[in-house]
Amino acid sequence: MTQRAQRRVTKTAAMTAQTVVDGSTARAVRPEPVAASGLPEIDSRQRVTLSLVPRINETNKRSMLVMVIALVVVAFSVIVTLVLMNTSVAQRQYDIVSLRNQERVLSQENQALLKEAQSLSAPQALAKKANALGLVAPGAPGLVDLNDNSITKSADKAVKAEGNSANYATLPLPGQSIRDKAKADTKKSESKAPVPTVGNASKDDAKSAADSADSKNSTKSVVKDETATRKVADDGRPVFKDSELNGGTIPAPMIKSPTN
Amino acid sequence: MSSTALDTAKKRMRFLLILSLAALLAIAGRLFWVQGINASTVADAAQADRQREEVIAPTRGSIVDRNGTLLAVSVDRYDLVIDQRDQRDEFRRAKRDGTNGSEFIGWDQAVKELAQILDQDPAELAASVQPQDGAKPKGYVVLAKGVTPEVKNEVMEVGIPRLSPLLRSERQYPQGVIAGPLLGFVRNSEDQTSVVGAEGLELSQEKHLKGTEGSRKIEVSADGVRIPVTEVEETPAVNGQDVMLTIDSDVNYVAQREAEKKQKQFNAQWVSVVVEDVKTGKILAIGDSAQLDPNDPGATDPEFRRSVSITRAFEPGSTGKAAIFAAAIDQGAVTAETEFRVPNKYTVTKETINDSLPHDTYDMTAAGIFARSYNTGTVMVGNKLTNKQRYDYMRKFGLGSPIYLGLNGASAGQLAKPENWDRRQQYTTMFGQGYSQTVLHTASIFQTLANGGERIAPSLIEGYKNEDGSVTEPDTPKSSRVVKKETAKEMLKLMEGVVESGTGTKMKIPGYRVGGKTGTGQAASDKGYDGYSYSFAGVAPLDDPQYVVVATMYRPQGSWKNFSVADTFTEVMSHVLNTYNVPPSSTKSEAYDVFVGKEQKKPW
Repeated sequence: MTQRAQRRVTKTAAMTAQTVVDGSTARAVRPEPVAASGLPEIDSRQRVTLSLVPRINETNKRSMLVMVIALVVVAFSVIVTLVLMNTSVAQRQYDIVSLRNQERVLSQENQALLKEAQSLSAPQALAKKANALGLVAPGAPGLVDLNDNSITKSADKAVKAEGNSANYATLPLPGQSIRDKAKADTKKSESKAPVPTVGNASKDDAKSAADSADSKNSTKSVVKDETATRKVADDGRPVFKDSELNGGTIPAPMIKSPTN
Repeated sequence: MSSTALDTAKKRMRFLLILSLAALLAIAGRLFWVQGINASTVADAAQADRQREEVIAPTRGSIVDRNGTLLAVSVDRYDLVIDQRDQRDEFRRAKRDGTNGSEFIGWDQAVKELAQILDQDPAELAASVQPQDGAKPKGYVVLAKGVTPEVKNEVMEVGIPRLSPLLRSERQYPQGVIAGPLLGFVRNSEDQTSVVGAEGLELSQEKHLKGTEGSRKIEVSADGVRIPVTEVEETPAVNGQDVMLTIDSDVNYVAQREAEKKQKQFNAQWVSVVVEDVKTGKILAIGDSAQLDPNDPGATDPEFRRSVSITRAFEPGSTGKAAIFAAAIDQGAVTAETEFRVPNKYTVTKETINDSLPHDTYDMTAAGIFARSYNTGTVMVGNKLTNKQRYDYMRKFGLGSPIYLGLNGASAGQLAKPENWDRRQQYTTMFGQGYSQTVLHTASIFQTLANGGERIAPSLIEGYKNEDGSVTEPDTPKSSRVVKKETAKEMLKLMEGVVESGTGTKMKIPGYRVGGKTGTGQAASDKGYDGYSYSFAGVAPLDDPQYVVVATMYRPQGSWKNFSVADTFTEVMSHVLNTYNVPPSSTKSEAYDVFVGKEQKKPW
């Protein structure tokens, strides 16, 4: 009995399920079976749950798709990131190399400019420039005693060009070879041409001279040209053009742009 | 198919199977060996193969003067090297006129452009760029050495294939000849990539200037490109220290200029001017008449590639009397006003001492003898001491031992022991003959007397500047007391007498009290005494002595009556006093009377 009732219950459950699937007419085809004793009533809630099963399957499918897409995206972005990182690392390497080169170029430029500045401000170069401008060495300075406000010694006048004992332009300029200077000294009686400092490319010093001559308006060569062409007045002072003097007595110093 | 053929096929198949298995086994075994047993060795070998170690060369330190002016500096230069092998007739390069695109040029055009940039003869250059007359192409031909970065960049623009620049360090001296013989010069290192000191301070300060090499370990791939993500092991190079000198390049210029002028004036063998700070013994300038440009040391006579002021010993003549008078006063044997009857000729133990010019017999003070520099009187003063006493003082003043400034070739001079002095030498050593010394020795003696009798060993090096800007001081120069303070003070008065009314009246400097001692010495050669040396060692200002200037002229030619180093001394000394803003003397002269009695103007 028990066994039979059990079977029926199973059958009933199957039939109930079928009716839901088949639609509203199903109930007319198969009448509501009479429940055996102690047969539990079928819960409506349970039926709702059962009807939801296919819907659960559908969501699974969708989330699977999302997951696959996400995985692909992640994999792709990982690859893209790696590639980007790799290129950026490689790019950094190039940047470092180019910055190193830039640093080297700048420090070399700095070296060259510093050296040129030092050479131009070397005492003998300044002396030569001063000489070309017609400046002479000062006489002895005057002395004032601050205790009794008296002039203990008046200043001596500076002696003009030829008579001045201090001839400032005797030592070779930086970059000017001693050999060239010795040759120029012996030649002096014959010609007053400026001493060539460029030309012998096998010598290091000639090359450094050539560097400064490369920049066309090197002050050194300017000074040289002036000494060669400048007329000298009776009092031993060079004659300057009014445009050079600009209202003064000696020309203003020339400014050389470091970019040239 | 017969059974024998089938057997053969089977056999073959079996054989092949066994062979394949054996091969598989061998490969598996090898794999096991490489990956399992020998893994670390193989990994190390691979690492070693990838790894390259580069040496990072340190920059050689600079040499600067006391004001920070650069005297010697290292700069980057390039050697241009070409590989003649595997060159085509034409090559492609980026256009040089700044427009985009590229062009093909031939070798004639390339050599022409190169010759213009390098300022070389095109024919000669062509010979080194390409192999001539079917000669075997060379792999390494140097086209130019030590070109500047700008020239190198221009050359690279020409675009010649297989032409490469090799970086190397070159030494430059921006001030040219200023302090040349002191700085010395450098030579190329063995590997031709850098320079090492060869002479002068460049040589003696090598260990300070040189610096320490660094290294960098990187990994490169098979094509020689660095593998980016690998670790870099780097030990940075430590650059050399900058050597700061006590020299003032402006003062040194004046000293050199005056020395050269004097040398030309009298066609002397050499002229030297030394400027020393009295209070510290620091050398402000050493100016030699022979100029040395360290950029081209070969242009200077080998004899003058070192400073004559420290290498040439000569008999000083009368400047040597200063040490003898100081010794006699210090021992209390004489005072400045001790009276002597001074004849023109003086004979002692059968040796006759003459004065250079004949004069009447005068009654003079010891100070007067010093001022007029009479040999006869000097022997009378010197005779109050024993030979040994005088010798000891001379040694204490630094004679007979070399003065080490950091320059090689410093001469000790010659000073024989008193027991070896012959009969005449015991007298000649009193007036500066019969022994020899350098100009620097003279400067040091006068520094001692001007510094209250305390000798401070002359020095040329102010300090060493490290890369971080800190300064390492050199060892403190040795100082020693030679004569008492009072003796030194008396000696200054004696020296003032020389300039006031003695042999040095031309050495006056307006506004300042100057003291010193003239010296005329006979110069010896193989043939005996056949020349002269003229010198003046002076101190100023006498109320508080600051500077010593010694001007020396060796073997001048021509009329001896004009020989004088007075203008050399005054020019340099007044420049020094002006440069350092030394206030003019406000006190009166303290010179002693030359003669006994009222009459002070007597003929020479």
